[in-house]
Amino acid sequence: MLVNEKDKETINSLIHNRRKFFLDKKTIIFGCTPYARDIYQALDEHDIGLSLIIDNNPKKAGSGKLCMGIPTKNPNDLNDDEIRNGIYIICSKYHLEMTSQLIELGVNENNILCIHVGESKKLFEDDIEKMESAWEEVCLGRNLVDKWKREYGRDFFFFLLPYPGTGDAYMACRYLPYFLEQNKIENIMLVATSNNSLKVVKLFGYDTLLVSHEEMSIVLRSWEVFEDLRAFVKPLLHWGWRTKRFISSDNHPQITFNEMFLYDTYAFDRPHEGYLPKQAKTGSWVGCFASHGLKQGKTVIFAPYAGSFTYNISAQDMENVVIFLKNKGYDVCTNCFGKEKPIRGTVPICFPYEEAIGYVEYAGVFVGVRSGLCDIISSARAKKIIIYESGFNATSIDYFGLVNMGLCEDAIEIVYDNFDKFVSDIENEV
Amino acid sequence: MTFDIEQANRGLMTLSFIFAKCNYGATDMIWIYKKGESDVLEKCIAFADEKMKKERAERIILLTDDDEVDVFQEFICKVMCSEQDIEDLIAWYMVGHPYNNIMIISLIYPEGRNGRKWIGKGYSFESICKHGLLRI
Repeated sequence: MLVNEKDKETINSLIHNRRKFFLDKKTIIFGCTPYARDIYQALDEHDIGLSLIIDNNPKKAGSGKLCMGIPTKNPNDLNDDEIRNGIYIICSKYHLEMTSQLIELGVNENNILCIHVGESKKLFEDDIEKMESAWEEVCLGRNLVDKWKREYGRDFFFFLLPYPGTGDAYMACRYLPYFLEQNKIENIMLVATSNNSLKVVKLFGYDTLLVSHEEMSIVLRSWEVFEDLRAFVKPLLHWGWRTKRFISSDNHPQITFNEMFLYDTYAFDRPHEGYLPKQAKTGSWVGCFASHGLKQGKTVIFAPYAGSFTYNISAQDMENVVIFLKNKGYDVCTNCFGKEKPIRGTVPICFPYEEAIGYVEYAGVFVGVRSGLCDIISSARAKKIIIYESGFNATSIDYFGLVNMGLCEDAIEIVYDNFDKFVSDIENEV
Repeated sequence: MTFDIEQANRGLMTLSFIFAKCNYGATDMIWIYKKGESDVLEKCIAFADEKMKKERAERIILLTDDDEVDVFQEFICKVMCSEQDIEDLIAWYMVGHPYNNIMIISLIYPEGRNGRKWIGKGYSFESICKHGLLRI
């Protein structure tokens, strides 16, 4: 299941229009799904608190499990107050069954809000008009590629990075030279919708083109129909664009993230050693550390943010780890930028990707949740503690593990289940 | 195989006709199968019951141009189509949007595309059909 921009807009506008509906009520989401994250964000933007997430799947909810840091329950464990005063948000193709279940439990039908997006909509609704408009998009996509070719050269090949994750861009670029060699492609452009992806691409020295989501969408449309190398377009994704492959999901972890790129995206018939990105040796970290009073070799760079995944580790847990590290004599800084806030008691620092390895090696220790940054610093000669999670929308260690993927052998990898174990793991490793 | 809008439109018309003929409803799934990948169809039929439970479906309408397809499960309703009909339906599918209740039983077209290359790389043919194609 992939939440697209249109889905996000629908969720946001519905929460906005119904914001008064939530006053003096407990807001409860039914379903630990990727949509839950966007609903949570939309609620947060409207200053609406989220009390609980419920799900019938015992692997996702109940027994003290958290989802995005929010408590979870099985619907059958709802208490009287939650049944009487809860506003329930459902965003699922099973909304009819879920609504019936809530009503049977005693929830008032008026307190159930169904959001219909993407796959939760009515299943069959195509007609000739929609077909024509879909074909129009296919043609527009083709025309756009023609325009690019006129602009950059008839022999240019355009590689698309539709997904904004930096880890995806890293992995795509890591093996791209082999594909170019195999297919005798010389002139290329990496096309993305996110600046972060393009920053990663630039580490590998490729030319980049930033496009809008709409432009990316129509080019992908065109590729879906005319998929072949003669189209001079190839998306670099570790799953099928139209439907996310279950093959790579948590339940079937025989394969790793990089193998998906090797054997699916690029369809190589044998493994290849990945290329490493260029790193700048500016030494800017020396001045940065000095100005923040951070000690060389005795500083922990904490990286608690990841673009594509939501972590359940609470701010309080992070703060407690920081206290522990400080007691052990380490200085601690948080890698953050934009709206991200440093963990309390730490210095905020921010560094460009091309200097990431320099910063981490100078600090001595990196502790971070699994994100694209971990791919970039995987070759750093420093202590690297990478945090994974299990369960809902998690960065599975089997699939994304740096050691499993062969990116490095010295990463210390921890699966976060609960705070006590988390602290004792860190204690053992630092 | 290349597609055009006329062909896709014909596919949609064919589908509408089949819907009316089969009294298509919300608990039905449509499987489109083009002759030539009988191993895939056979494996998918073996998982049909499980797929139906997952999608809460009650019936599979199997549209095919292969008269050798032998279906004995009572929840699968086989509808014979011409080769042209099936190609039109695939064209419609490629241009239109995929829905969970309509799918092409194939390791060539969208959901299962490139599935065969995973065989032997930690996956069996069975798991490719089950997880990669049917998404169970």
